[in-house]
Amino acid sequence: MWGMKLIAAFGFVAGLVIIFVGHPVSADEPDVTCTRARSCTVTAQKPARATRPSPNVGRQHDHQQGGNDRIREARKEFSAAMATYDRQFARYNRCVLTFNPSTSAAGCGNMPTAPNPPQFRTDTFSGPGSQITAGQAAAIAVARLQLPTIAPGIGPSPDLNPWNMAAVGYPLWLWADGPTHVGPISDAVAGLSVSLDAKVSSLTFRMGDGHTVTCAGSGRPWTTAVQPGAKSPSCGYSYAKPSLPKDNYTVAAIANWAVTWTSNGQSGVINVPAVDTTELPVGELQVLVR
Amino acid sequence: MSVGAAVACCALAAACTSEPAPHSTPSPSPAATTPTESQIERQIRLDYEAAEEAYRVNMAEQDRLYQAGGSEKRTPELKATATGSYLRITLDSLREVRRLGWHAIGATKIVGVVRDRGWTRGRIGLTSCEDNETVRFVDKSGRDVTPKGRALYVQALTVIKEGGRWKVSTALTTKVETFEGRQCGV
Repeated sequence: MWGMKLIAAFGFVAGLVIIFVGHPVSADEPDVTCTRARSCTVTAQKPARATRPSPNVGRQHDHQQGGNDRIREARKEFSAAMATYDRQFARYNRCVLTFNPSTSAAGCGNMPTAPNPPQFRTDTFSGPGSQITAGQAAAIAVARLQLPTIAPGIGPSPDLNPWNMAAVGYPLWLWADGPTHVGPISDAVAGLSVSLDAKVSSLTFRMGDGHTVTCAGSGRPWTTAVQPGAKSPSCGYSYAKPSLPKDNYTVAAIANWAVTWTSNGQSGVINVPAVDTTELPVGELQVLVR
Repeated sequence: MSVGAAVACCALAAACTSEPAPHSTPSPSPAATTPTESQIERQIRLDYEAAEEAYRVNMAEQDRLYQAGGSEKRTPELKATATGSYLRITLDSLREVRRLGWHAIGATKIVGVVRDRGWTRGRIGLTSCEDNETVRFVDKSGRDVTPKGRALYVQALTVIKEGGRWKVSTALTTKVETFEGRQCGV
């Protein structure tokens, strides 16, 4: 079998070994997949370290030159794609962090949407000097990570009272309605392994009446065990004005995800905001006291 | 607080009893989500269940095919539960077993699967402890040809949603001497 020579290099004792190699096997700790037949296949590995091209001449050199041009072109495309992504991500950040349900910031549309991850050709990172940086790999992995939506949690729910509305002056509890921790999750970008761990670091509510509430952490959910009229210990709000009878308030929750990444011995944090909204009818409750 | 205000207060919170008021109906809006399981938590749970099921069905199909002497083609079960490099590697191994004229006796034991590697829409990470030492290979003459070496694998699986179905797409293997101390080994 053509891969047999490589068995010893990987230290696998196997009766049959199937090894696919896209480029020369030189990396340590390659990613492998093993089957129950004890065969192991290299699935990904770190790109080979940059080396000077050998000073070959003639046809081989011409062939190599053509390959280098193609790779150079691919890298140029990658740089452009990364730059475009960086711009789109910066705009997305601005739009989310300034998101206000009652107005829309210039260039943001009604609801900001995260940009698509940058695309690149597989040959971008082949050949000499092709190492993707850990930061680039992390940015791409984070872009691929679709963080779950966090809706505004507001309690007690208007559906739980006979008037189907929240009342002016009544203390509402606010929290992140959705998972607030994702990970650790691993991804591989151009042969570099990236580990990601995302947590909601803070939560901002735009209440729809012009007020903003920022909470550390993700708030505490209201439950039926809460004493009537009790304020949330961590994140709450009382409306001063009704939205009814004219309309509902559109409440937006802006979750600030802190995505910690590690790759190739380096680490960092990329902040990714996300926004979701809900409608809340708020009315005045007339209490008759004899 | 007056009596009337207290009544209104109580009604607003629906907390006069420990249960929601009888007239209340669950609302699909996020604000009305119960503290037990939100919509997204339910989605995550169902996705995990479906992803793990795909993995287990795939493993059972592999057992069947190895015992039958390998396979040249992707069976419908394989295609429905695996994709990408995982499917390719599985098929290459099955073809090799067929070419060598071997067949398996026994089945892989899935010691445990843990949902520890995150969830995103359409992409799930699982870790599985696979004991393949229960699988022996014999050739046409009935001779035991099981390749040497430990076959306790901790598999870091990526399961992706493709065409509406969850499919195992990659598996990164760590060979271990024992599953002791491994979450999936419990």
